[in-house]
Amino acid sequence: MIETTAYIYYHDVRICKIIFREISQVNFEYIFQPDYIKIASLNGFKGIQGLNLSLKRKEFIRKNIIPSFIYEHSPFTFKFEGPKCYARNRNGDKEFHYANEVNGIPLLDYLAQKEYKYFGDTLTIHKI
Amino acid sequence: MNPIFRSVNELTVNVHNRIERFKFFQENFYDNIYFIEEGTNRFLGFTNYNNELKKESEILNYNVDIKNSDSNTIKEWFNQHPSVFRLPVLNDKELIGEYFDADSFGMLLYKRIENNALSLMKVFQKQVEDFLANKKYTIDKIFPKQIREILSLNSKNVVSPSEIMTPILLKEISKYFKNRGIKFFVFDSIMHSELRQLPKYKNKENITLEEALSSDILLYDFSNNDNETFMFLKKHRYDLNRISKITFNGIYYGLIDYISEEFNIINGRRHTVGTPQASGQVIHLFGPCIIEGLCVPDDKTIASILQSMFSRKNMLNCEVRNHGTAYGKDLINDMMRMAATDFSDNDIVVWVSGFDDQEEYLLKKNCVEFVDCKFLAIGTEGTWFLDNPMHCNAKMNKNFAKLIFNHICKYINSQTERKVLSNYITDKQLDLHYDNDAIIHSEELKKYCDWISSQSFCNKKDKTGCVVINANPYTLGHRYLIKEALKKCDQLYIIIVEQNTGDFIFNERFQMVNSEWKNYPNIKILSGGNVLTSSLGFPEYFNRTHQLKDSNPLLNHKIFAEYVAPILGINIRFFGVETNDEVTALLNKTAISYLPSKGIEVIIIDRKRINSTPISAKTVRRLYAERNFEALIPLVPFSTYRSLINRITDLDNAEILIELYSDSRLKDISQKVKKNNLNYAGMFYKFGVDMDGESYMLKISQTENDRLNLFSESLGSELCKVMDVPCSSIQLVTYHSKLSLLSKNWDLKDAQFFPLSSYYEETIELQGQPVIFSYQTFTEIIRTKFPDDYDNVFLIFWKSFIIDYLLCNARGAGNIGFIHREKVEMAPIYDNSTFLSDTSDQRFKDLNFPECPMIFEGEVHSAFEIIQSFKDPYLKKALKVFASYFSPELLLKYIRSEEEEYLYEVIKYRYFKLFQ
Repeated sequence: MIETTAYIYYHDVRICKIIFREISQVNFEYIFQPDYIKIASLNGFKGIQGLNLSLKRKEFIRKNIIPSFIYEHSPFTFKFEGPKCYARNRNGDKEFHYANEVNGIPLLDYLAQKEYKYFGDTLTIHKI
Repeated sequence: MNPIFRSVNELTVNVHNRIERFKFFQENFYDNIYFIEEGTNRFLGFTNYNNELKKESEILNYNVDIKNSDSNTIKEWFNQHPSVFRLPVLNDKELIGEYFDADSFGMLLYKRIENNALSLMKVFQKQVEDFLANKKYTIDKIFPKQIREILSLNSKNVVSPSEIMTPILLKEISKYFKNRGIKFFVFDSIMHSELRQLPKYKNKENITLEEALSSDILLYDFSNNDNETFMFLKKHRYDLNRISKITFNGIYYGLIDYISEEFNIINGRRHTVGTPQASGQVIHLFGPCIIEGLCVPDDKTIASILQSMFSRKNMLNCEVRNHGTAYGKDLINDMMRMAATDFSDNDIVVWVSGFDDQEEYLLKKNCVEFVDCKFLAIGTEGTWFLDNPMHCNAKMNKNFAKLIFNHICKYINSQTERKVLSNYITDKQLDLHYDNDAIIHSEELKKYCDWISSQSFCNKKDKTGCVVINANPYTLGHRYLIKEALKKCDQLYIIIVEQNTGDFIFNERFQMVNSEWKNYPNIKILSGGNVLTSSLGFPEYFNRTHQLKDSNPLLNHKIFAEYVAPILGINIRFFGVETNDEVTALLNKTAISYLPSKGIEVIIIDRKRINSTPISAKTVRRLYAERNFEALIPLVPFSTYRSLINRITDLDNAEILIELYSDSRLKDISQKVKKNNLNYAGMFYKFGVDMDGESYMLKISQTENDRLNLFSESLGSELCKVMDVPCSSIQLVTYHSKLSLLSKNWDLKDAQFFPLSSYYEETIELQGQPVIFSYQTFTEIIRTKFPDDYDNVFLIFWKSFIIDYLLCNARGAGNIGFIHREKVEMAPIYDNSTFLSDTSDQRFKDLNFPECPMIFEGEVHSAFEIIQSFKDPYLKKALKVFASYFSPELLLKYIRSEEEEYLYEVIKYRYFKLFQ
């Protein structure tokens, strides 16, 4: 099993922990653990894609789907490279080809390492 | 471009003294000097020659992280940076080596000039003594004037060998011509340093030839509506700076022969079109690239234009000879070439180059007719040179030719025979001789041997074989030869002849072979360099106008047997049976008699035959010229077939581009754009760029399908504007010769973007799993999230749905997005791209295409069916708006390209199907 973690930052404030666990190529999960105290102190912050933060859940678990936040923050060129994995799509029935890794590195680590800037928000992913 | 890895141990590091760095670059022009932390190898940066030329050199620091790179990434990187030859490679910030272009090694031109001048000082010993008499000069054999100035070294009473030899030769040569009554004209052209002073050329200050060649728009402007020149440059964009290879023949650096359709160097001279069979008077043109005509086809060089002027004026006995040598400004070399050229007293010599004040003074003092032609450059509007003022277009060449003609025409006579042919070297009995085996002592051979020694197999085995092939192009015959050779040896070198014969450039040929054999551990694929089966060693192979009886392939075999084979440990050489080509047959015959005496076994392998006819590259070239691709299939491997098809596409694209560039919508942004590391989700290769201080998204068309998509986006955005649907501001541009599209970024500031798919995901917390993309859920989400914007959102949704239907899009609901600021609003639509594959795609006539990803009701899937049968008040309203305000003719003003015409047909067809 592969397990790795990274954090979502709003400017320089760490607002959420992401844990990625890969049990097998078809069986994986992303877990988001928001830091509500820090989030409450922010000005201008509008939310994290795919998470209804008003529910104040300790964890948001996404089993066998690539969360919107991760999908949106990944450049297209990496989305269909590397070994393909199978997951249910949002319709729940079709096979959804999507790689959870880029060049052998878990996608989450890859995004954290590259520190890409996403055009749709100012949230960034870091390892520490 | 042939990037190869070299480890850190082989690199030059931490040369902190600038003078020492310059010494290094004189011998290693293309190399980098790296700076690393002592002990840890932590990469600090590097410097190269161009960087050192700056007044204050800086430490450069682009690099590649080895973990995230493969050979294709590296190759792509080099292709995108055509003037970079070395790329540092890091592993966790530690320098572990570099990728370097194996095709690039060489010596600084200044160094070559100085070396040449130094050896000439011995030949002109008396004149040198006179020059130095009573002067307290110190001779600097390391740095010429130009580098002394950069390094701010004390130049008082210091001269380099070229500063001694240039005035001596100027005096000697002009006196010689004067004494023989030969008319000698010197045309002083503008140099880069002078041009730089003019404000209108400031932006062209530092552009390299490679950079200029990578921009289609620059080439097109340069070609000045001359499509022949444009096609020529397009064809040679990757090898133009390698066409003109030079070699030292014992007296001067001359050109290596090169034969092709529109660029020919025969017997060391650029071909002049239209020369008479017999001439009574010869006009000799000397000079650098401007005379050789590096950037124009044969018929547009100054010499060819001048020749046509003589023909038009009925001066039919007059022949123009092009002695231009394209390798930079080197007055000494030009003069040594003059010294070795046979003249008749009746001939005229024209020398075009750049001259400083002292050189001008010396020439005038010796009664040379000195013509200042800088005004041609200053008074000329538009793009007349490519990267520097010696690389001129046909228009400028014509201006030069006219000026030359006006000055020399009164000296043209009607003599029908040239008498008393002699040259300066023989007349003065100088100790200078042509070296027929110059290649053996040449820098090229030494460098080549150094290079191949780094490429040899680590574990040499008993039977090491070699095949040398031209692969012009690579055929199944070559594959058979290699396979048969492999059966007879333990390891095999495939050496690809590097010199081009005009049909397929080396890179193409190398790739064809490499793609097939690169993964075989017992095979190494190498280039023949400038030396192995090159026109230096065996000119007859390349220039079939040579008389075969004069051929001597022995030199070629000698280079192989005495230099190449020992380094690589080759003891078997394989040849294919040659029945058609007598030059290759002669090469084989002499190999059989010579190579065994050097301990190399020769094995001749029979040719692969199809229907009893041997496969020949010549046949493949003929079929390719006829575009008979079907007949090619049994003759070539797939790698070659694909390469031939791509080649055609590229050239056809060039023709499309000519058409495209006349379109004022398309501006080239290659020079202006900077990647800004923004990342864009969604389909297609796209990245964030900064241009003129604004942030954009850039999509690049890599294929025919992409091109269609970009046109559909641009047309789709016009459709959105017509129907009042918010759409990103976009424009079509060209980027590195490819059709591209710029989309202006949304002004987000503190706002954030939320795609509809993220709201779908939020339902997991309520239902335990994501709900399906259905219209019902969509309406529920919008009602809950944006109760105030409900009407607006749904009207826009259905309008864009109809636009998608018209353009054959298949938009998922996830593409709908919202920008959250103080008030939530719909994000402008980014993507209007079509799912059609090309302009022959007839699927648009099937109204079930495309299938819509969102579920509306029951079994209804296609956009057409949904629009026709789905009951929704907002759809009804949107349809009414379309019926009232839209007609396809509104788009007619945007239709210019073939793709847009096709898309217009699609929209028209689908519109009438829906509304009639």
